[in-house]
Amino acid sequence: MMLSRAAARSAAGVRAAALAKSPALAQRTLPAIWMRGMAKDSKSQPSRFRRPQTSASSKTSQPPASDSSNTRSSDGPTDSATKSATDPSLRNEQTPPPEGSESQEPIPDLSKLPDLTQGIPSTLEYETTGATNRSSLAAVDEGSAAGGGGRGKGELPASAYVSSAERRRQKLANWMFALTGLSLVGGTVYLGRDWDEEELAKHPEVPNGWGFGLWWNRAMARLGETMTYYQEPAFEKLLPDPDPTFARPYTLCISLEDMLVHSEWTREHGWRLAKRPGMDYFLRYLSQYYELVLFTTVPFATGEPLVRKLDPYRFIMWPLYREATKYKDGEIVKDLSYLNRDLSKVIIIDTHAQHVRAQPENAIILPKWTGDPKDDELVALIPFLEYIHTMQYGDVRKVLKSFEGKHIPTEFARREAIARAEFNKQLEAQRGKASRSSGGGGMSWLSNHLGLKPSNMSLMVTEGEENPVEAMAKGKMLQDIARERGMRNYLMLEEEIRKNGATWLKEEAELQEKAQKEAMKSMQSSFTSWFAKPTEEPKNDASTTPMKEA
Amino acid sequence: MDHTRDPCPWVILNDFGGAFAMGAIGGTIWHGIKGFRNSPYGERRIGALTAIKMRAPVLGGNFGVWGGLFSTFDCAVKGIRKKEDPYNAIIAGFFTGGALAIRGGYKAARNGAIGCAVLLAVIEGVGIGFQKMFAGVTKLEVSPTNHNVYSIGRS
Repeated sequence: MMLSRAAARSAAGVRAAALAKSPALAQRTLPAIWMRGMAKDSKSQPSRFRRPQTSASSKTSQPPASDSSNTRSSDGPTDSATKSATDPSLRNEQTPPPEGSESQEPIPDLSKLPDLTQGIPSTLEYETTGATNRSSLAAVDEGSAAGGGGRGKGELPASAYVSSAERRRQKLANWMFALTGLSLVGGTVYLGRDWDEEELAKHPEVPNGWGFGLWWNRAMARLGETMTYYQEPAFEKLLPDPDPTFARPYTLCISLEDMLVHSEWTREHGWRLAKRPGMDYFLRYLSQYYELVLFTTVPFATGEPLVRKLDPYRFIMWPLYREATKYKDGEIVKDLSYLNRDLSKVIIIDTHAQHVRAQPENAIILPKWTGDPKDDELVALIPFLEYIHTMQYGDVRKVLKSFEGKHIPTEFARREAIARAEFNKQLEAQRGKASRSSGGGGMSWLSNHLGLKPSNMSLMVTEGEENPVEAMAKGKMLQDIARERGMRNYLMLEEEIRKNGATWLKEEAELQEKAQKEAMKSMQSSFTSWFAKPTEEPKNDASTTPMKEA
Repeated sequence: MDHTRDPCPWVILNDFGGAFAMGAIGGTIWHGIKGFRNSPYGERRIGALTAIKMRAPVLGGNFGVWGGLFSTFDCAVKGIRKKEDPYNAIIAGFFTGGALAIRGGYKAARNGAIGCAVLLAVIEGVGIGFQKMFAGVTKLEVSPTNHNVYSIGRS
């Protein structure tokens, strides 16, 4: 014990004590000179830690000579083990070492010290050896006590190695956990509070009252209400009310991606967009029969510039983007019930059956267009859509149902051929009858017979057109007449666009620019009025008014 | 359909590069100021430059690893789920946080994963909220500009 105290006085005291536990190591690492010096002192000097003891050996009992001779000869670990085992007993008999021994004490074995410039040594090894295990810890303590104080391992419990900053962090984390849990519970309780009057009317199936189940149900209902805000379309009514001056009787919703356009990506060119063949014709031709609505799942920010470029003359009356769709069960749905139109007069063409699953009876599902330049699906659909308008069907869903599961253009052509054959047969019969009776009311009889009353047809005779009755007599069916008129209108439209298209676009660009400037101005003025003194206000007003006049 | 981003396997490279650039530029600003402030007078410029040279690429690398990993996981999740919704990002964030913290052990990985997923959920939620907020702009109104074509060919 005295030895250890003496050793502790020197800077390397602890280190020395640690080395005392493994004399073999010490022996191996000790400089040769030192050994030689010790050899002068006493021949039986296996380790430096026996030095004080041996210097006082004249007074104390000498260890057996055989011991020292053994050490010299073997120099092995087994020998050192026996040595260290004998050490304590020797030391117990020791008297305090003389002063001379202490002067010899400083052992500058710096290679063994932890180099603190490299950081604090890891305690991982220590932790993995089971420092928290009490029994092994006790063993270490005992051993170190027996060995005259160990390296310092196990002197402190593992918690002593947790820094105060870390402890503070832990504490904060615990507080945060507690707070989160508390607010969660509190929030749930608050969510489950009783309904007030109007809320109660909205949720008749979740009653007021006390009880865990009721409380929970109300909380869930409230939460669901909040969630639906994010899943519903942005507006209750996606389109403004039908305008009687411009309204078409039917509404046609079309899709964008893989119906009107197809986008593809290659490493060389990046994204490129292909326009479907006949797209312009499709839009322009059908715009005379339908209120065209573009209903796409593409977000506004992506789709808007695309649509402006695709349809500069705005044949698409209303573009609806992702914001107008509904998010349901992890899928985007184009819910037509928000459209603010009579659903019996709405047709939606889409390439994705999942998108129209809310109203499949209103939908025509087209196969995706993959960029084939010879495609004519879109144009092939026009006769059918035109026919629906011509016949003024009360409910398009019934018509679509009769075409369910069939390829609409071919099926329509087949039916039309049958109808035409029938029509021709009747016309022949009628002609024969008319030539016999030579009566004037034949034609009206024909149209009555075919169930084509002028009142329920879209056939209002305009100038430059032949009377439908006369036309029919020439072997033209109703849809032929409608098609002729449609084509005439379409050509007029094309002519108009060719003549005035550029000026329209210019006008619109100007209008847009003006609106943009206006918006900029108002933003600026609102921004300045936020900070500025009231004296600047009239100046801003004065600067904006000429803008409005311009 | 989002034409601002490349399709999936390629976007990883884009994201990695973008994140690296972001980190490197941000690190230049950050460590430039830090190095400047922490240098003695007379050595402020060289101090700032040294700090930038030493630390900005490191920060860029850290950002890049995060971005690349996130994008990889995002693509993987998209490929498996075949859906495009906010959960993709949240799941990808979960795996990214976990993967980056895995060297700290199971507990660290778990905490990192949950923390990262929550962060991404918040980001996605805020994004949806903003989208909802600005959706009001897309409200369709009857305006005369819509109809200049529609009056043609109608008697």
